[in-house]
Amino acid sequence: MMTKISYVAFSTALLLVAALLLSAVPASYGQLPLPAGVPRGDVLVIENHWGTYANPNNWNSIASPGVGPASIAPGGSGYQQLCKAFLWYINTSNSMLIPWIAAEPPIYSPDFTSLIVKIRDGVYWNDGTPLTAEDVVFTLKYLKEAPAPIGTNEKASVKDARALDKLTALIELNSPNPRWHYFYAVIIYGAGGILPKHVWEGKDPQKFENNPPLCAGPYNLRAVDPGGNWFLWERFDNWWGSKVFGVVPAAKYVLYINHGPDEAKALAMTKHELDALRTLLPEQAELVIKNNPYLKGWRASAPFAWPLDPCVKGLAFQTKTPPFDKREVRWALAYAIDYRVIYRAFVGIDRSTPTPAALPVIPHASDIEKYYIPLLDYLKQYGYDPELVLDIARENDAWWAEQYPVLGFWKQDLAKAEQLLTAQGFRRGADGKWLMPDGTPWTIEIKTTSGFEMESQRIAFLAADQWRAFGIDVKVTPLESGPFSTSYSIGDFQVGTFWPGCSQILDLYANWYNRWHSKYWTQKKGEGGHGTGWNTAEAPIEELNRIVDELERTAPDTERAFELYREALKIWVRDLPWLGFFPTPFYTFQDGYAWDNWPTHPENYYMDPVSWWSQHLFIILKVKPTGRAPTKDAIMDPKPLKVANTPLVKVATAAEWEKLIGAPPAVGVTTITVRETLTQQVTEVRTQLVTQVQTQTVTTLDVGLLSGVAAVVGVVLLVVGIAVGRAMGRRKPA
Amino acid sequence: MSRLLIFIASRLVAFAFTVVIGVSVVFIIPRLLPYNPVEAQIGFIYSIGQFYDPTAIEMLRQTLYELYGLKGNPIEQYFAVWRRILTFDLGPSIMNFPTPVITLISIALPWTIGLLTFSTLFSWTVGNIIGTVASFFNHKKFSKALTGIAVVLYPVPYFILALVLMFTFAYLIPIFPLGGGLTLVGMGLSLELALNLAKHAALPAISIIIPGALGWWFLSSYTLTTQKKTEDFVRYAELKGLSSRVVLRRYLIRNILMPQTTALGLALGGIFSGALLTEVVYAYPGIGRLLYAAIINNDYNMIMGISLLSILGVSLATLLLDLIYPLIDPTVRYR
Repeated sequence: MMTKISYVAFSTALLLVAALLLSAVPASYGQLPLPAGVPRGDVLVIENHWGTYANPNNWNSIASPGVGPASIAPGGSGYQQLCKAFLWYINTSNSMLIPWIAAEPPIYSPDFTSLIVKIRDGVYWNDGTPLTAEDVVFTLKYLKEAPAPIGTNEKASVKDARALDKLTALIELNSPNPRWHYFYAVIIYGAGGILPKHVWEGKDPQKFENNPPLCAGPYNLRAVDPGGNWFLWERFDNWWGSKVFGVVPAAKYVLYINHGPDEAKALAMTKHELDALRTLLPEQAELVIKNNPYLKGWRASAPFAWPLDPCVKGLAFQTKTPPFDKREVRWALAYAIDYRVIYRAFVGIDRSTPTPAALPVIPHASDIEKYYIPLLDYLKQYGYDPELVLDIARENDAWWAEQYPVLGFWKQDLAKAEQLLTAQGFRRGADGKWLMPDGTPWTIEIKTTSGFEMESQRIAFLAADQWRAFGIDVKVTPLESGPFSTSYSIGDFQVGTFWPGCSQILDLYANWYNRWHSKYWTQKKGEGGHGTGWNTAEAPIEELNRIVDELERTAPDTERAFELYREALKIWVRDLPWLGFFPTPFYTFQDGYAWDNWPTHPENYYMDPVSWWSQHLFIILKVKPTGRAPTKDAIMDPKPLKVANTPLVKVATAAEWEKLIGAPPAVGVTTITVRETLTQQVTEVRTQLVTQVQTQTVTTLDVGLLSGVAAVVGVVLLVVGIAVGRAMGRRKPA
Repeated sequence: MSRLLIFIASRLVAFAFTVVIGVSVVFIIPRLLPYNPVEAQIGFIYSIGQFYDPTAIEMLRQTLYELYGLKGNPIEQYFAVWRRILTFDLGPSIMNFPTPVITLISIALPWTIGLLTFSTLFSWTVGNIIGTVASFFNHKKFSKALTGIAVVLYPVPYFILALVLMFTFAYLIPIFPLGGGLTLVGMGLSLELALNLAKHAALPAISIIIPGALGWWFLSSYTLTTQKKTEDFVRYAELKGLSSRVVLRRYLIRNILMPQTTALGLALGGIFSGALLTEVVYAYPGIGRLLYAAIINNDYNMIMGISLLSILGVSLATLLLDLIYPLIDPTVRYR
């Protein structure tokens, strides 16, 4: 009878159930989500820095500019590193183009209104279907016709596209643009990819889930965490690249996994359960540095941090809001800052130092030679001191200190700051604090980050201290990413730690576009887009407009283009719309315990060590097992990948262009005769597809199962609860 | 009978009223925040450095306003929200556009329900039993020890406790994984799957149960019992010569059960808003993270979807408690 059940017995039963659950944990069970029997040495484990994906089953890469596992942005699922079909990559370590699915750089017509893309012979999708010019043409037209916001770039820029033959596509543009191919070339993170026509044709571009995705890379999706934390990719041994380049990646599996907060990632890296990660806060970085003797970073030994992140971090001024609309005020605020203090604050415990960047240009070696050194005399007119932090850099063995002792900053000059402000009508009050020209006290609000990009928050507080010491009241407002991005986009700020100064490659236009020409400035304050420009329609800088206009008709990597960039940079220095300090160092750790041949500066610097960018593919293709971790299917001595680095574009002469497009457009290109060797591949590939389908079924089952388990547990508990309740309800008082 | 009907009707009206107020507040607050999902998304596109055509960005901005349902005045948007709720269509998630909110919630919810139902019920039961027993026998050594533990544990910040547990049981003595909800397992329902799930849920569950059972539920039932012990009816029972077991079971536990059941009901209703810190620390998939991401990205539709669940959860729990009270509390029944 229910009434006989004592509370003690009831609670003992519950305790027993819990104990059973908790103790039923075989200690030998692997901690990483791997198929049974797979040894650690077969797997490359990379951080899913994006975190938990809300819908891990949607592999539609075009529908959302947001955050699905296949969207370009987050790069945490491995899709863009291992699967997506890119025509070109740009090697950020040397600013050159790597033709990938394309056989060579794009060939532009002399007036830049058309271009020809040549596909590499022998490229096929992982189901064996050849990847041809038809796929390129299909992708462009499909995106152009899809409802916005899908394909906004294609709608705005592509007039028409057609296949000239199986491997040649002709793309006609709405207006001249010698850089159109940047939409399809990975600069950082990702870019547009080619869609397999035979998969996407006839599909609703918004609703099609593309699950599992058909890849053109060396790995196929093997399994997905129904909870959205990890993605497991399995080597595809029949990959086209293995035939064309003769390489097979060493790792049998690549696992992208979110271990949780920084603390968990640091523990995972010291346990060798994580081979590459994005970055850690200094405290967690210290933990890893002290406890993992195999650790590598940007360099093979300390200092580890990667000092060339593509955005210069610092302070941006709202150039439409008084008093920041006056360049004299912006310069006064720059002269009020002691850069040495800020620089020293960023020296890491492993002696990592930032690379100073007074210009909105990331100082890679080639950028220093093209921009910093030629502009040195001009910069000095504005108080640039190339030796300002050289001693700190030398003490800490900074990579540039010996080779390029020219990276400095604007020297603190309080007298000049005082003089500039006084000339603008500012004066000091009785308490020594600055008053605005109208006599009211001057208070600056700095908007900064909170909960992400914490380095920028440190910059805000350091700068605030110095401006306060100079006699200006400063309030720092940390904001979460949503309000932070919004305030930048609509221009609702005075000063903020935004980062408009990004550059990944020597051809700076890739990051400039609408920030540098007043014709792209259509918004008023409070409307979207306001904060992203400094050359405004209300007060255009004609000189700069002229330069950008000419750039838009000048091929990248030409001497004329570099001259124009230098001219534009001079105007930027004169106006100082934002004050960049340096790219903040990232601890892009790479664990040398299980895997070796990571890129390290300078001796083996074949690629930037950035695991969330698409270019990480080239690292995945190069790493080798060390033999410390047990292996079964890993390739112990993979062949090195040799792939050409080429100029960014080719421009045809009028005669060459005629010849190129002279042949009548090929009709019916879809009926390509597949060569016999390829037919052979198709059969082999089919097995692979079946595996994929099975894996997906597992995933679906898990979700259903979970809901089932939850429901059953819920019902059981409810029944028990009601029973207990009723039992107690029926009791008569003793 | 008519009094019962009036009782039920009044509770139902209160329930409906709560839901309407809740939905309205959830509608208004995100729209008052100084940010906007479209601009945040455009800012994000800028920040990742992908090459975009300047005119394409403008086109993107305009269409996003339209697709996210942010065009039209607030009154129109408000009625559109009600239309959606009443037709069980919560619209597309903005941050995961165009995946429907319902799909995303249905992926995250089972995890949260599984973890929190178990750990809430478990800590409630254990906490109340040991709290009451410890208070009844408050002169015993175990009682003093337990009280000491509870007083120390209760104020420990959850984040610290969770990290200590992780460091101890996933790193020093690696019996549990660092995080996540599930590793790769074979097909279908199996013991392996159940164990795998349990193993991943163990640390998160322990981290909720320890401060719950040994902290709040223990302390509250301890205090309640201490207070009830001095009441006349308990003294009377003792004078009647009833054994202390009977006094404990029939006089004390049943009386402290009243407020504790209310609290349990509310705690269970609150499950639908998830356990954010647990989910973050242990990378446990669940509704709390989804809500956090929705708030960070100002995903109005998702915030509304999860809040609606939470509002319904708490107000349904309250309604049910109101209706069940007469069953467990004779003083309510006989009124």
